Amino acid sequence: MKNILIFILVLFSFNTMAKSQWNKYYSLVRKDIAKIEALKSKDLSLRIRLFELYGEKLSLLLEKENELRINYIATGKKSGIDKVIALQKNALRKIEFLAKTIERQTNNQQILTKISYYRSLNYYLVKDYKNFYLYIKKAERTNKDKKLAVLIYTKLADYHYNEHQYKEAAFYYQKLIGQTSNPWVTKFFYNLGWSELKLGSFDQAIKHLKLAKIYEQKKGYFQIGDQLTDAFLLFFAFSKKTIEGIQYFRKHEMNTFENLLKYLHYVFENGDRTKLDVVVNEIDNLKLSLKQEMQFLEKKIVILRPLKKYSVIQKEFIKFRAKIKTELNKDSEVKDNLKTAIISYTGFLQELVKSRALINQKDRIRFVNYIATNFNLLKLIDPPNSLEYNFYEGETYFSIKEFSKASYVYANGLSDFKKKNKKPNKFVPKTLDSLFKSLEYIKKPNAKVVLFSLTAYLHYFPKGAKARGVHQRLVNFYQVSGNTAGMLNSLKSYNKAYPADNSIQKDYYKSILNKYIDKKDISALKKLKNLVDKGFLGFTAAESANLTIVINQLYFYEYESLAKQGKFKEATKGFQSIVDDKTMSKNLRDEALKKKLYFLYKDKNFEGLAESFVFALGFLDAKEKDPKQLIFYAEEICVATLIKECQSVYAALEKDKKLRPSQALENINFKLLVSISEDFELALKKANTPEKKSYLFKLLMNSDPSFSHKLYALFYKEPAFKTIIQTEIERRFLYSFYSNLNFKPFQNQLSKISVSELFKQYSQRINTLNAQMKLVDFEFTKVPEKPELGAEEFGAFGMAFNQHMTSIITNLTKGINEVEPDFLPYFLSKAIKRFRKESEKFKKFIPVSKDADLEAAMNDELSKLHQFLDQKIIEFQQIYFRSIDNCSPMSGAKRYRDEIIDTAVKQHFEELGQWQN
Amino acid sequence: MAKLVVLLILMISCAQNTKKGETYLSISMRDELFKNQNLVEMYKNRNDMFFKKQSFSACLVGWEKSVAVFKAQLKTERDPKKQAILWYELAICHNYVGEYKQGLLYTDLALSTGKLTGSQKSTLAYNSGLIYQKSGQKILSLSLFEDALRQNPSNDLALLELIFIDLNRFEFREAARKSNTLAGRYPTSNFIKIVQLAAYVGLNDHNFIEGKVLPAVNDKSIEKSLINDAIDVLKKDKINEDLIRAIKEREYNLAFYESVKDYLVKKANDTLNEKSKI
Repeated sequence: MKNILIFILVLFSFNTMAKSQWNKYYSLVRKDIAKIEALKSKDLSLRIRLFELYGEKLSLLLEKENELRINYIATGKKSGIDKVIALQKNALRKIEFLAKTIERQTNNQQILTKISYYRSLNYYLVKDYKNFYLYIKKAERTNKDKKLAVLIYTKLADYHYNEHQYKEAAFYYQKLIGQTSNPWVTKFFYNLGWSELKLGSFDQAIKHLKLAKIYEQKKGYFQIGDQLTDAFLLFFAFSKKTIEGIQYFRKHEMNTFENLLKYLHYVFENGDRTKLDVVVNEIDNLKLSLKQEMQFLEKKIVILRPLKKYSVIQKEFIKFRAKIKTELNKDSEVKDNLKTAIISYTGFLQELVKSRALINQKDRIRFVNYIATNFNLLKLIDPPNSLEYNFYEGETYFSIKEFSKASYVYANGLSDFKKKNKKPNKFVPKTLDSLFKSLEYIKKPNAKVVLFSLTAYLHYFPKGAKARGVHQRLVNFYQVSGNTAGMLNSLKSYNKAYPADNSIQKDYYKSILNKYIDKKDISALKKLKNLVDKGFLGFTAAESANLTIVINQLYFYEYESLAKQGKFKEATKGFQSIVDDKTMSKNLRDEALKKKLYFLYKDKNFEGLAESFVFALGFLDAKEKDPKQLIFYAEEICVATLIKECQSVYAALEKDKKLRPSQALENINFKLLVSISEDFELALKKANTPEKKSYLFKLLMNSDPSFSHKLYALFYKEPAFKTIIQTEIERRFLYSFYSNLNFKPFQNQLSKISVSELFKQYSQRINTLNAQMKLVDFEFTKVPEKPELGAEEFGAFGMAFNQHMTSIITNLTKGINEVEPDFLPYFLSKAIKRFRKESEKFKKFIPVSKDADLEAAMNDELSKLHQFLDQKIIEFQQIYFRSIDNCSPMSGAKRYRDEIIDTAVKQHFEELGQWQN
Repeated sequence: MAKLVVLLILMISCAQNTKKGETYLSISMRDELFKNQNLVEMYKNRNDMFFKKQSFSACLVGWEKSVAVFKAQLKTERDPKKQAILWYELAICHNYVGEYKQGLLYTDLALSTGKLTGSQKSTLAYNSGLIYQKSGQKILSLSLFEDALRQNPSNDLALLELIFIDLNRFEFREAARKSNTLAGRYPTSNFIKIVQLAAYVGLNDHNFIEGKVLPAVNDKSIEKSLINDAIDVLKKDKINEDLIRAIKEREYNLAFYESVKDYLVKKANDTLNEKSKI
């Protein structure tokens, strides 16, 4: 900004300075003129001076006129121009007057030549070329000065050149080109070349142009610049020396893109068109920028189109498109030119397509494709106007009745436009209109295109002229295609745009509801119901309630259908969802729960059934509880021997006020309970039938074989169980004894038995038996210790022995009679062993007497006693073996059947222990 | 050892991760099942006619699968007769793993239906007898074995258990009678011959043994030596320390045979003691 201000100030100061200088100079000239004019007599030199001063004045006035004219253009203020022109005319008249005066006053050729020369220059300045030529020729005729001659020839050459008098111009330029030291010789050669070109002397023209180039490259010579280059391009083209030109350009590094493009143009316009490809190839070899590519393509269109090389153009398009790849968004003149060229060319193709008489069908198709390609290219080059190009592309297809293709083109164009633009442009309605028309011509239009056409229209014109119909068509479209979400949305839009059409919209909505009712699509219906609940389209609460009933019915239908398909898990989950839904009626939730129980049962998911059963007893209303059905479920769970589940179900039934477990259920539950419970006391409380008690007893016997559990005491009170307990303990009593030959092991067991009665009983028995066993702790009567016995002494011993023996026998007999038969073998064994021992000891007694007869008699008596004792032992042994047979089989006494009981026999035959199947 | 620990951890974790409703085996159950598998395998490997005729449940080899199948069927089966059979099978299965409470539960459930055949009832009675036998409730087990035989007189295992009871009570005559019945059913069974042998040794009847038992067994069988030893023991005159030592040194990889051997040794020692008294 600062720089701009400085620049304006500098410019302003220059301008001011120029004006003040002009004024100063003009004032000086006027003063000088006035001084000379003031003189009464003027000699030739004064007149010549005055002539020069008026010439100066004229020049200044012309300068002023130019300034004023520029100012006029800039400001529109014309002030001063006429006055300046008037002053100019005055100055010129004065100059003419002075010149004529001077001519009359002198014959000096040199002076006259200069006067003529300056007169001609003055006329040239005021554009009086006739007088200019008159006086310059006069100056030419009278001039003898070589330097002035160059000036005169230059003016004449330029005059003729400007007047298109090339022959005369060439004449004077020929005179001038010899002035090789003249800095202007480049211009002379250049203009000579041009004159010769105009005269058709191409070789000469190129020759002099080349010379102009040579001198221009030298220092101090006038620089023609781009004009010279341009002249070369034109001359080579014009002279049809296309290839020579290319070579020259290469040599002098003039083969730039800009030059060659111009050259291409010249060749096309004025040169040898057969050599156009040479120039094109030369450009193709250059590395071009995008801008240059566009320029080049535009030029190609311009030159190839008149040559009817359409396929070549199209190929160039394809090449170009491959190079640019993305849209060209940046605006530029070059782009605009290219765009114009393509549009123009494509328009031309469209005309060709339309003009049926001019081309055949095959070409028509080809051209239509070209047009489509070109519009697509245009979309890339000129993205903001894509829709326009689409429209015209579509129109092309439409014009040849390719309606389907046309519809796609329109739709695609609109779709792209919609993505980038919120508001429509003038081509949106046009395109939509054409799209609708094209769809009308198609028997089976593409559904997506139809949908797009409708949505696009409503997008831009939701309340447009056709909007009501389009809304309805869109709703219908979704309805027919089964797209409910779309239909619903379109219905909402329709309602928003045309709330007055409520009744039509409601009918549509009902049709959606009916559809989902038919399909039994509950989730869809629930969503739709949300809107109904909110009073959408004026739906009432009663209508909402009716819909709720329908949905509930469908729920049951759906889950039952799932169950029918064997999808019990899904079905039960579904029913549970109804149970959990607190928005539903309790009655319905109860029904759902009952269904769930039923399908859990059908699925044989008894674990789930048990869980739901317990829940159901707490959830269901009393009147909804069907005892028969619920007890059945409970029985099924228990029969499946799902112990924990059976327990939980049974416990729930026990708590329930309305339901009572069946006898069968009670029994099986009890058994299951006992099978998992260690709490036999609790079990016994529940054992309210003999069957249950018996079962509990059996399990107790297995669990506690030592009879230590206090429940045995209770069972012992019942005869059936008492017998079993007694028998087993008796067996153990006997078996333990005969395995150990003492009571201690059994007494150990006895101490653990919970039945106190048994403890007492067995303790007593053992005491009795122990007491009885003492009966065998006898000794025979001691034999006399004297070495010799008399008859009296022997008689007294015999009497004592007999009496004592009688007592022993009496005691043993008592024992045999009193000892329990199962212990008699043991008693007898002890007795026999004792008897044997005492007998053996007694048999060692041999009485001696001095009296041989007495001694013999005593020994006879003793022998009889020995026989008696042996006989007694045999008798006891016989009783023993009988007693063994009389023992209870469970006692194990028979292991001593071979011999009397001495040491414990622990023989045990091992069983197989194999389970049976 | 490390492998065993890993295996145990796996087994425990498997048991803990068992899904609801599934049947699984605890370590003690697995041990019991393994014991029963070995026992049956050992009996089967004897290639004896008696053991060959014995069958075993599918539970013995695929316990978890079988039980799961039976339990699943229980949920669907509505026919009381078939329900009874499922309980019957489950009772057998639980016995294999030492779950006697469950075994008794299913036994009771099956029997309470009144739908079992005599043979099935006999089997359950026999198995229940075995349960009580294991817990030392001999009276109850005896009555159950007797019941098993009553329900099915062809229940040889029940008859055999009764023989064992007779033998252990030294009721050899009764044992002999029952063993003869079994011998008639299994004429080529060496095992039953030894059962007979035990009874007849108890009866000191070497003639029967020589005449009926000895000829029936193969010369190369292990039973042959046991029978010959028994004859030698019963004939008494051949009994000496060497014979007793020789008998003791013999090995029979069947508990029952070993107990018969022990009985022979006892008898031989008794005879030798008598001899020494004389």
